[in-house]
Amino acid sequence: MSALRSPGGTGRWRRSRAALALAAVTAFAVACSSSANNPGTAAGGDGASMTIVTPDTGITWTLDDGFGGFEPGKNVQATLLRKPFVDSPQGRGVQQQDVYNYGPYLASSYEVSPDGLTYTFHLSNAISASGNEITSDDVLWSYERKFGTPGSLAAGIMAPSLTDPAQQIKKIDDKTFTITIPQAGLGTTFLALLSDLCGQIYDSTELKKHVTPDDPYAVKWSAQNPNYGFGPYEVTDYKPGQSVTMTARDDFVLGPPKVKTINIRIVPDPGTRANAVKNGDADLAENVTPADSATLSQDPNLIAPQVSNPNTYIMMPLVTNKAPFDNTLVRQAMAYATPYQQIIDNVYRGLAQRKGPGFLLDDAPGYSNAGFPDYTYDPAKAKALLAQAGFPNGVGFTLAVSAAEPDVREAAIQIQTQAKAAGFDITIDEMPASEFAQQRTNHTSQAFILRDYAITLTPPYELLVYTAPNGANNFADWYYKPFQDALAYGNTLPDALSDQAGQAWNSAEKMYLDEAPIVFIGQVQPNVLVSSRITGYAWTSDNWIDYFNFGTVSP
Amino acid sequence: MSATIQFTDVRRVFRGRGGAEHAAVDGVDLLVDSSTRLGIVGESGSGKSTVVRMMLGLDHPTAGSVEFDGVPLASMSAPALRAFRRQVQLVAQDTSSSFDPRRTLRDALRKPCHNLLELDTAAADAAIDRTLEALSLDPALAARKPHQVSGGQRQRFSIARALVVEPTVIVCDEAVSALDVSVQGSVLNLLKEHCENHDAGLVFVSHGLPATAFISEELVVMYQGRVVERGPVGRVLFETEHPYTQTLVDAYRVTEGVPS
Amino acid sequence: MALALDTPDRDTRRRRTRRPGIASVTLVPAAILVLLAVLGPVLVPFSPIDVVDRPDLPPGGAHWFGTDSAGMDVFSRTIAATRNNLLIGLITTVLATSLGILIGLVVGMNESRRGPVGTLARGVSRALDLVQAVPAIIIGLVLIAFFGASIPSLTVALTVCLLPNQARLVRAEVLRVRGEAYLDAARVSGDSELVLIAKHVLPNSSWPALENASLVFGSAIVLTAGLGFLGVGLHPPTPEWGSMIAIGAPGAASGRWWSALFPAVALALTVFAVSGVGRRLFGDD
Repeated sequence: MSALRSPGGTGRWRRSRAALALAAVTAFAVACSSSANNPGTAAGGDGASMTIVTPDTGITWTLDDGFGGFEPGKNVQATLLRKPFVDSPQGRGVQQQDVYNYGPYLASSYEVSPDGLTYTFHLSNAISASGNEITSDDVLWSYERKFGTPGSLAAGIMAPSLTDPAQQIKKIDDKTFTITIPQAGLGTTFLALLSDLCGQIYDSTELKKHVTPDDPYAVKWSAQNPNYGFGPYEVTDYKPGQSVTMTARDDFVLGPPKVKTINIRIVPDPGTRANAVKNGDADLAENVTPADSATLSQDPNLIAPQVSNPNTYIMMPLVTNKAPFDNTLVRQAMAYATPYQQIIDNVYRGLAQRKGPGFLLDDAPGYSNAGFPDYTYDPAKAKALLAQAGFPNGVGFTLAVSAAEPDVREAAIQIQTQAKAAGFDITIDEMPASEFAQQRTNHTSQAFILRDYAITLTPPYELLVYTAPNGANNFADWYYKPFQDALAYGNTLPDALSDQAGQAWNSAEKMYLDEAPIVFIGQVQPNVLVSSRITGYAWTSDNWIDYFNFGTVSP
Repeated sequence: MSATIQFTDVRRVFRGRGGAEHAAVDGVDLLVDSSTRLGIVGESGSGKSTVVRMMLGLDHPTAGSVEFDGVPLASMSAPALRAFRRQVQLVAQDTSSSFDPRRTLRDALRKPCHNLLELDTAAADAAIDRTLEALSLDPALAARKPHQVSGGQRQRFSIARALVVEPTVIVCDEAVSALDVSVQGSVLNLLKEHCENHDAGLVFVSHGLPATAFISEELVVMYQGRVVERGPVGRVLFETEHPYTQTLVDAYRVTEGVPS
Repeated sequence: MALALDTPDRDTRRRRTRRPGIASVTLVPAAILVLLAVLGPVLVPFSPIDVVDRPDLPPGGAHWFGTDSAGMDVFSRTIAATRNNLLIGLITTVLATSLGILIGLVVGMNESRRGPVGTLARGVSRALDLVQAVPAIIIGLVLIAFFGASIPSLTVALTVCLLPNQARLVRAEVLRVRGEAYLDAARVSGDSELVLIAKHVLPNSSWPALENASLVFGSAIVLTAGLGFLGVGLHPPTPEWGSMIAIGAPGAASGRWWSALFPAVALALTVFAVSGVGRRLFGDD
């Protein structure tokens, strides 16, 4: 299951002067979202509607309500910035986010001060679903709410670039405000965060009407009444656990959405969801099994989207605080006992890829994989490493897997079978998702296997997301000082996306992989199935779908 | 052999839904022994069935006492209770349910022989066969289950079960009510003969006056849990004191055509 | 009266099943099952717990029942599961039914009594209603979470889930039987209360639970599947029909019918075989 990751002390970066200057002069005159995206969407037209079938994700309208299914909420809300979409190599109307560019949205432009610390934002004339035009007060109040609401995820995610909104965010006038960050090097991650869920700005005029002494930010009211955002859609019908109807807002700041009505129906069974798209009862199915995707995408009317660099990884954290994985050699042996290609072929039916042993996306500017270990399935080598570690007769361990993820269970079974040749005797402990999450955080099992992603894609964020000392997402409970030092060094460099920084990230990631606290198995393609009637499905780094990008092909 | 059941100011209260109390039997005094044939008559709900259950030690009074030869039934030891049952037996009313449908009639008849007479199986079977023959029943029928014989036959088996231990008091609870009138007569005669021949007492409980009057020497009329009239059959029938008795007697006259 | 009407029917059935030829026929499927449970692991062509080929291969030469979504041989797993499922199903059925009868009997005989025994019996009776109002799967979840997933703990959990219904069936029947005149007749014939319960109340009130036993067997396996689906069943890839069905079912919607169908057929045949044995043992007495 995808999860928002709170990276702890992420993303200390310093951009080069050149990049800074470039960003500073960029006034985003060109709308890069709506018009550039869907050349083939002519027929969308008025009244177009589409149906999405999804499992029950526990719909949660904002981060302030805690973790849940954020997709409908994401489409009611709008963020300050936006990562643009480009066509995926697959074509057929499938798109992917350009995760290293942060374009205009609720902010029509911004400038950066010469020291790289203060960002001045100019707001657009976006109008909320309640009819109020956006002002700087909305921004200030939204961040006050995000940071002031107990249980809100925003504060954890936005640290360390934004830790004290009252001090860091200043109103200049109704349409202008500044945010000052503590280190210039945090800028890239900061902009990325403003483009993700944490960048959502709420209509404070509307929300303030529903404030009570017990509920100073109207969080309780807004949990039931989602239409206080500046996003492309408003919710016109919501039956929890059953369905949501979302209606396009023609006064949306980026222009009227092409699909006028989005019907979200909750269908628990993945096979039924896949079939609904196949039979034309739905246009898009979420959380489809790879086997269904592979089979059904043979149908010319169906698309299993594939993108260059999906950020969802299937991975196996090996918990380093207890035997046998307290021994680096045993962890390395496991990395050689994992049947990578078999998992990609058998479980993901080719809808996954392994570009190497690492976790950083290889399309980041400055990326290098020099010196990485050659983890491939090699039982002989694994056996030798195990013997060297003092386990000549092999070793057993328990691998925890969530019952909610059939593909992950199947991957575990592939590993269990193939790792026998290397001397690993694996007991697969399948458990309910809630118990799995708990064990994962408490490091109680000896190893875990899961599918997960970093929501914000900058190298320092990605490197820290599962390694923050004592962090809740440090599944392997791994601490290795040289790695932390290397990461800290990278954060002192001026530009996180420079070649120089790339070298630093490479040396840190090399240690990450040599020490093997986590076996990164492969990148998994989006698990959705789309009707070819629909264009504009776009992979996003948060893996929640942007409905505004959808269009329809005329029959 | 002396066998005396003494009811002294017996009251039996049942608690209904919501805790409301209802006295099924209230202030009843009765004396039952082997010397008389006592009829107890009353409509359903009059408390006579409760009297029967208390008389047999199947239920116990809320107040007052039911004693057998001076010992309260409620506090009897198991051996004393067996000795009591050896002397006081029941011919139950609903013959379709007074035998366990899963067991043969012979099984049912062996029980009192084993439990009360402590006979072995062979001796029990001999006693059973004797009793059945005395009641004009083919012993071969005893191998059947209760639903495999006719209602009349079943009623004779019910009587046989009581008689097989040669009790001194036989309690008949609506023993003939379910039978055809012709069969009723023969069963009543049979009971009467047995009592006369074996010096046994009889308690005949029924809602029907004619059969009760026919077989009884003494009559007790119950109404709403109380005894409203008692005395020799002739006196009760012809010198009725209580208006309820009068309605019973009137109904009897109409059906039987007895002149007033 | 209903009883009297229904008994001749039950009698014919008994006569039918007791004809020796027919009787053995009803036991043949059960005998085969037991044989499979004992010999199954030796007979299977592939390891039932290993990935042996490509996933989702349809039934054919090498894999008679095809392979499942992980690439394990469905035939080998279906056969190898017999032992686990028979163990789980039979132990659960025996435990749930015998405990259910015992509890139903005790509750039914005592719940109208005064004093602490009556109060306790009424309490147990309400508790049974309450437990039945909670979905069995949730009870199973909690118990397995507490005891951990193994065949014994699964059996205990399933017993707790399935026992209340058995107890309630028996209790209702006890309440009916308790008023039957033959109990008073037996008392007058000198039977003690214990003998009375053992010889009359028990045989006359336990038949609904016994007749329901083959359903309990099936439910035990279906519940095992449900628990497996929620991730608290046996450790995968332990071969077990319920989890095989649960895992295979979504694929069946997309045309990969074999990985769920064969264990489902095995389950159905087993329930059929067990009900054959049940009829022979308890059909009439």
